[in-house]
Amino acid sequence: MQFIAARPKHVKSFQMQKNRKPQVENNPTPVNILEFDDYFDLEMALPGFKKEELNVEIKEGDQLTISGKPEQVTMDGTIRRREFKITSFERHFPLGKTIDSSNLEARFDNGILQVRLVKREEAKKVSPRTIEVF
Amino acid sequence: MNLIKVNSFLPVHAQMSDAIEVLLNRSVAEIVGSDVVNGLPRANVIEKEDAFQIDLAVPGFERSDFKVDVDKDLLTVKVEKDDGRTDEAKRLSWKRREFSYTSFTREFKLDKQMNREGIMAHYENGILSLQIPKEIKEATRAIEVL
Repeated sequence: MQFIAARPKHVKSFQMQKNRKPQVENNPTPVNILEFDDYFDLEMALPGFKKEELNVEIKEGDQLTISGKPEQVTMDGTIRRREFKITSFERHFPLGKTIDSSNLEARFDNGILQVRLVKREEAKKVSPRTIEVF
Repeated sequence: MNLIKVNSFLPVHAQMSDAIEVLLNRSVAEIVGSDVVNGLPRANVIEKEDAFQIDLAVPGFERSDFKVDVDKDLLTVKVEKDDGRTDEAKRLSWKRREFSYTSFTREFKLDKQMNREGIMAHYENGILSLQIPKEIKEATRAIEVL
């Protein structure tokens, strides 16, 4: 069987890249962090994980720890091509003083884990107000 | 990813020409990794007794975003979607961006032993799983000798 996957034309076959580690091994859990006025959203791409295999916790007061341990699934068949692996991981994010660590919300949808980190009152961006002059 | 060693004892132009030589003698794909160049979702292929299974790691989509087509020998998985962040991004402040979920097209070539009719797709937890049944070989027929 042959798979073509829009590879560059000068690469003759996938076999040539056999020894090359896929990028996924460099960063198996890519993260996006977006800042809003009142909170940060941290997103982690975790395709293939189930909600119950993930763990989000606050350690030592100000360290957000996200970990995952996939259930071992026995697969009958021969692997013909492997570009990604679903493996255990643990990542830490120091929260600093701006985040209210008692206020954490996490959801997992379609392989994306989203953790909402609410800012402390004093760190929230205050939109400019017009002060009426009497 | 290859790192180019810098020898601080060599003159700068000599180091540069070494670096250029390294670049010219290799394809971009070889240095960066071809899948990274294309930004395509990663796939695992498993051959089972009666079917092939292709698993694509595509987090962040909805089932209805996928378009899976078979045209002769080509199986195409396509998503045309903007992650909605281009407009939003102006208001937002990205502190870190390591992935995005936007449009892609990935093609797989089917071979003779694959049944084009019975292909099934399933999306769960960010994995699109395609099942391609194998063609059932006709039992050898004995031809009667008259």
